Amino acid sequence: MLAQAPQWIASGLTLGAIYALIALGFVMIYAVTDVINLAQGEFVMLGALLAITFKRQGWPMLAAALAAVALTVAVGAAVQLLALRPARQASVLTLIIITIGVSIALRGAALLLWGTDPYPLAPFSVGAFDLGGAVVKRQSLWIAGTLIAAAVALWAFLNHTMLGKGLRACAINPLAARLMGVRPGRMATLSFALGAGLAAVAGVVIAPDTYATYDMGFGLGLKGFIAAIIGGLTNPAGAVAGGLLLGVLEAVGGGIKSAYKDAVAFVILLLVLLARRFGPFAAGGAGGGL
Amino acid sequence: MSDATVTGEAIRRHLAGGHAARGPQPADLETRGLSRHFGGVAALTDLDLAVAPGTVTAVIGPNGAGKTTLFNLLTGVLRPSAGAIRFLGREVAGKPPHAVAALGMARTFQNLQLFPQMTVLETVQVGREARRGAGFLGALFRPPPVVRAERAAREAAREQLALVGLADRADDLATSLPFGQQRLLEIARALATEPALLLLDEPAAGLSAGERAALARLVGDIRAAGVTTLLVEHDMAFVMRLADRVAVLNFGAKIADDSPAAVQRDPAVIAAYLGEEE
Amino acid sequence: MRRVDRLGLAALAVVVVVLGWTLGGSQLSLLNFVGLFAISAIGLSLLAGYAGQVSLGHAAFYGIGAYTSALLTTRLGLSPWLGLAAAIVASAAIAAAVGLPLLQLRGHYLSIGTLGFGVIVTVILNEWTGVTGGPSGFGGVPDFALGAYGFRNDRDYFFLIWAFLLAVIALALNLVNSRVGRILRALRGSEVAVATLGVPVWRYKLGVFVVSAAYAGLAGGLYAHYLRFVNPAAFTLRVSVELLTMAAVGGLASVWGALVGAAAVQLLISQIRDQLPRLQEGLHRLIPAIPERPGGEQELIAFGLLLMLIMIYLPGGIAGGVNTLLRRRAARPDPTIGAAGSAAASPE
Repeated sequence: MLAQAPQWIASGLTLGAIYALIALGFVMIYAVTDVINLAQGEFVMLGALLAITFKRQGWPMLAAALAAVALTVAVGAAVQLLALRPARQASVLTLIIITIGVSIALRGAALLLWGTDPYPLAPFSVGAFDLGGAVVKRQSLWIAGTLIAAAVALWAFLNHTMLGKGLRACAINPLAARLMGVRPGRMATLSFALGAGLAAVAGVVIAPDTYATYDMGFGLGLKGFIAAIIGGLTNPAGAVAGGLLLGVLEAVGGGIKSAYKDAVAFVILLLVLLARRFGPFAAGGAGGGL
Repeated sequence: MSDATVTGEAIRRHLAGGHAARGPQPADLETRGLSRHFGGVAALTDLDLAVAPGTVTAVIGPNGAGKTTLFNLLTGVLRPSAGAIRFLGREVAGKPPHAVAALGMARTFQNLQLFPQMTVLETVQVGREARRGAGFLGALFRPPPVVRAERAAREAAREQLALVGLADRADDLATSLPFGQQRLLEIARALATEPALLLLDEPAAGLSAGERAALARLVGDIRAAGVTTLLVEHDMAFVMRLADRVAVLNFGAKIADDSPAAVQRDPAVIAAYLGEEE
Repeated sequence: MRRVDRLGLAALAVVVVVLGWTLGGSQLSLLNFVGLFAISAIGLSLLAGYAGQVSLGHAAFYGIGAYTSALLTTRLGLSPWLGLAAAIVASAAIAAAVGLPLLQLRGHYLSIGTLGFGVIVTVILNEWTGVTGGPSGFGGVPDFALGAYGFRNDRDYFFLIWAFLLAVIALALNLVNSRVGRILRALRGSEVAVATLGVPVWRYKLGVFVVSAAYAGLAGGLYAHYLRFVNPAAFTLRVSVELLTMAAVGGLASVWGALVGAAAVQLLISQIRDQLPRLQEGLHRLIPAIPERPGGEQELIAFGLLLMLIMIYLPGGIAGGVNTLLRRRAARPDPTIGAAGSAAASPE
């Protein structure tokens, strides 16, 4: 079994990089708006299916990918403006249910547009090579590279641009941010746009590894969410680490008994949730002023 | 609300009703070295406080002096960073809120914590019924004993409301009451648990002069009924008439602890209050 | 129970008898599913609406009930009635066991935790092939019988399911208007205040979680014998979301609302199933790239939009909306039906 370890790690890291990208999107949205966006996986699906559709129109891969991400970003912003902003006074749980509604509606829209057929996408580079006993597809390098590029770009954006700093300010303290002239409403829209964009990127790079379908997003979104929770839900670096860790654990668990691969992630989720049992009684308590 | 001219005897009789065996026995409360930090910020430092049975003790201090933190520590809502709390001879620091309450401590909240979508009567009923077992099967199938117990509790809650002068609002939504009456309702809810010690968190805040006078009478009646009372207040004048003893907090530390008259003359207290704009 | 509730129950009983004798098989079959979902949705509304604990894994308890009764009656030859009782007990017991740790979580963490539980149960149902029959499930689940009378057709089951529904509505109304119900509603308002009155909060949360699971278990047991067949697809996360939607559409904090919600959502889904292919053909004619027949669960899109719109614009659901209207007219609030702005406004 140990002989398979390098392979598990290699495929685990590949899948983990996808989870990490999705988790980054989760974290962006949650940190700024306190919304657990269960429609995140649908953005992954949109990224993948849109990219494939543009590619089929004969567009070059890069153009198709960029257009897909851009469109998904627009959808993300629209979701925030149309579905979440009108309910911004609502409780956290109402907001979760709304995002479930968004997720189902987007999936339904995709079903109308693309049907149930699985859509293939050619890998960006074909072939594979051997790395320390593991067979690594060249596409995996694209995935890893994309994660690194996206993480670096996000880091630079958050730390070195006014907009990024505004986002961070909102995440830390919306009231103070407002006093500093940042507009939390706009930042909320921006965070959804960013979160959707990151998910769409994940969708584009994972499409060649798996056939893209209208319902591919749900599972991926949940995994990304679990990764984000492992990473602490508001910490981008933690989300990346959580994604990679989850990918490897799943690969190991699935290597031992493939049928239970999905259960592994949710068992981890429950363990992580319970391990982080939230502080003293009043910390999350109902009443203000305590 | 000023028709709430009740006697201590009436409240005593009422409080003894559910607990015929015990009756409200006067409670004593004592803290030693009680401290609480939030991150690096000390909200309360090394507080020694003694509340004698059957008295009204006031803790006063400017905003942010640590008064509400003190209440949250006493009632188990927050855990102390250090120190001890003895209530009725038992150590209660670190116990969960319901366990502390079950010993006979009840409180009100500075920021009212009434239940939305519940009537005034139901609110008091919750106070009365809080300490019975969960009893889901009884609630689902409602055998006659359960029905009788509920009817009794409803009647008792009505009487409780009469004591604070809210009888005529029994069927209104709690949150639809005017602010002053909401405060009274919180007191009624707390009294419904038949406490030995009643903690009032800034009961006079936001009340008109008339409402304050009525509240003062009510607190006097509660003391006459033998319930020990600890109240925190921002407003010094209000407590001077009521309290047997006054402790003063400033920046989380006790700076005076004496009779009202002595506290009023204390230079440190005057400085603390003059430092504020009031 | 209030007078209006007693009248409601009596009226519903009459309606059930009339519908049972007049409607045909396919309509009754639809109503049977309304009844099954309503039983679960009422349990969920007790949990989510009254106690403010939103479960995204409730289909798991529905499934546990269905499989428990199906397994006991097919493998051990138990009477379906005993199987049904076992279904209720098994769902309640498992809820108690998983609730102990899960209910330590608050707000959306609890929702996500229950979601995780639901997915794990689905995986087990799919993969524990030796016992559950795997993804294709198993059939041969026996029918209920009363003495010599066997329950066979949609009409028999209509009366059976709706009799149980009437009973669980009565029980739920009892609970809501009892001491326990008051404390649950109070919990939703201010957990801290309730605790400082001396209420061991977790016991109430666990209690209502167990009750709501028992409701789902009952519905699951009935389902298994009605369809004579169980498979995991009937108990997925999607069903959990549907249940939550029904409870939300009706008004999270309303027993009657959950019934209305179950009916509305079921009828709507079946309507959309009929209408959507036409829309699809239209789309296809407009843009040929769009497939002519999508297959799959086309009602999804409307379903999602509905859930979204309700939560945004009518967070009190149908019951909340009706209630607000009544309130405006009577200018006297009815405290027992919660408006749901605060319905979901439970402690984080």
